[in-house]
Amino acid sequence: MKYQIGGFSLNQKDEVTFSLEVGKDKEVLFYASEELIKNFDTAVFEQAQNVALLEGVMSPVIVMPDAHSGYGAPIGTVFASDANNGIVSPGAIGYDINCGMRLIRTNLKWAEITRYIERLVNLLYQYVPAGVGKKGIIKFSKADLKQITSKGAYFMVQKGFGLKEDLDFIEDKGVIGGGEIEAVSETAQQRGLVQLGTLGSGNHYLEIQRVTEIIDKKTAYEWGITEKDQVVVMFHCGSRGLGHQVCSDYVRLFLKHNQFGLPDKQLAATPIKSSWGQNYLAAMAAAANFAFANRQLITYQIRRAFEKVLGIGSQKLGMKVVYDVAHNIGKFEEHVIPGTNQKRQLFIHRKGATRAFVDQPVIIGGSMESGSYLLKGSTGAMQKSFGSTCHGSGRVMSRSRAKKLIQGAKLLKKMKQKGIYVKSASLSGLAEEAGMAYKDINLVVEAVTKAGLSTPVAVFKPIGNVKG
Amino acid sequence: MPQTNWQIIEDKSLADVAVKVEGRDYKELLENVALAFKELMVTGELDNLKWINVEIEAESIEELIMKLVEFWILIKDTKNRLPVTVKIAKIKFPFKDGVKIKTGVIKKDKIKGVDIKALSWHNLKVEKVKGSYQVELVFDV
Repeated sequence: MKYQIGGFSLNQKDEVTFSLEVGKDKEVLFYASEELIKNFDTAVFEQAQNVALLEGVMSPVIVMPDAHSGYGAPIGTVFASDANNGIVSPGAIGYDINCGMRLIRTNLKWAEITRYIERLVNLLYQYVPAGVGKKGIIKFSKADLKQITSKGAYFMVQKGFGLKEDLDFIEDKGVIGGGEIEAVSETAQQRGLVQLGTLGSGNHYLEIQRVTEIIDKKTAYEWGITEKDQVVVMFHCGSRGLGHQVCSDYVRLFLKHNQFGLPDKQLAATPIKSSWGQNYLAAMAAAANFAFANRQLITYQIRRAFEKVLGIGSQKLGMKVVYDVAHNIGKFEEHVIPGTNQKRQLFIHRKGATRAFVDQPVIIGGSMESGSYLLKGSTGAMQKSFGSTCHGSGRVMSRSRAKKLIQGAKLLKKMKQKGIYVKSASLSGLAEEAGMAYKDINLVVEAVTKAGLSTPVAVFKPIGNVKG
Repeated sequence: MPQTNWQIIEDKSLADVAVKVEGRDYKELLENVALAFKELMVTGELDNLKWINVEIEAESIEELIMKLVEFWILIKDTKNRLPVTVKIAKIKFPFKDGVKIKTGVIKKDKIKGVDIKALSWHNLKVEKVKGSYQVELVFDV
């Protein structure tokens, strides 16, 4: 069946798969329901087409159901290039390198902490600085930064900011090999050093949540999610100014030495084996390690806040890391090219998409009003999407429109009435993140489930929220 | 004072902020880029301005805008100050000879709006339309 959306002709392959032909031999596969794809902003199709047109990008380019327009590649894009002869595009990995999610479980019940929620959220807001340009509480030296960028979360655990076992529940055990501070500019280092341990702003948040539904009981139990109303902590942040500057520096460098016909300057790319490509990979790994270390430090601060408010040790509270996943990253992985039986060593770009290897936990953050999901990776993802799934609910409304339609103060009051205590650095920032600015997360999860990319394990709703 | 001439482009780059900026010449264009940067991040009256001098080399007006915005972001993230205005005595092509720019900064505790973390190259092209220079900027926030 053919669909015309925003001047693009799509071919519907099944209930949740749409194909866009690009040129003679490439296609973009959109995994989304009819309802979701009809509401994609038109720029998603244009930007996805631009990615497919980029030299060295293999077919198919994958677009997730939570996709929305960005710059260069849409947020919610996965694509591969050959690991040896392919390209790397910093802009198609994103500014916030290793922006990701971490989920921490507790053995607390909702009823046990209801009266502590305001104190907990207020102390978390103090311990994990959020908002524009906030600096970290725990100071680190430039010598520390060198180690952070090569050792990631392991460095923080070595310094006492976490448990050794935390590392077992982080993608790549919290460190990506090859991170080199020498590949990171002085400007990027300066921006990052003062921001360690901070949440940031925009769509970054820290939530105390309760389990509202367990869908896959066996898996949930294995991951320590045992019953409804169990309290968990979920947060979303990345590599802060360091990652942003790494991306800016290398996009500019690649543009200066551009060898390709670029459909969008933000997609500037270089051969992966070139010296510039290798330098970017070293800088990207450094930024990814910074992000893993940042989330580890924030975990330490979350444990401290719970200990202080409840007067019980975090070990006794059962505060263990369920998992930590990146959703803006580039990785060398072996995959079957979708639609073929051909297995190859590839370089996978994930921008607003999560790795979803078989049985791997996948954390999907929703809007602060709608709640979030824990999913499990599946074989379908390995066959159809280079081992990837969605990353969130995805925006349907621009920040500026949301601010026009929603008043932050009213939203704050509404959230309180719904039993969600919010501490936000900015009321206008809060308005930008209102539930109506996002897609229905249930539809997004339903689409990736039907497409076989991952399966739902548990659902969480917020009870307390720290917002940048 | 520059003629205030910038506006948000609605419903573009949903997760970020896209703006269109105009100026009668390069100098005014840069002044209005500074104005957009300021008004996206700060509300209310500004006082106690301090000035920081910078000289930027660039091969194009687009690169000049990019380097200037990156300089402002560095100040915001590391110096506890927020750039809010610029003074440019003269601006002459080619920019590789260096453009001297004075940036007015305020204390960062006045920040109320969005946090600009990067300027993307997406659609970053200065064009002359009906006698004025126009550029579309997509800020990562």
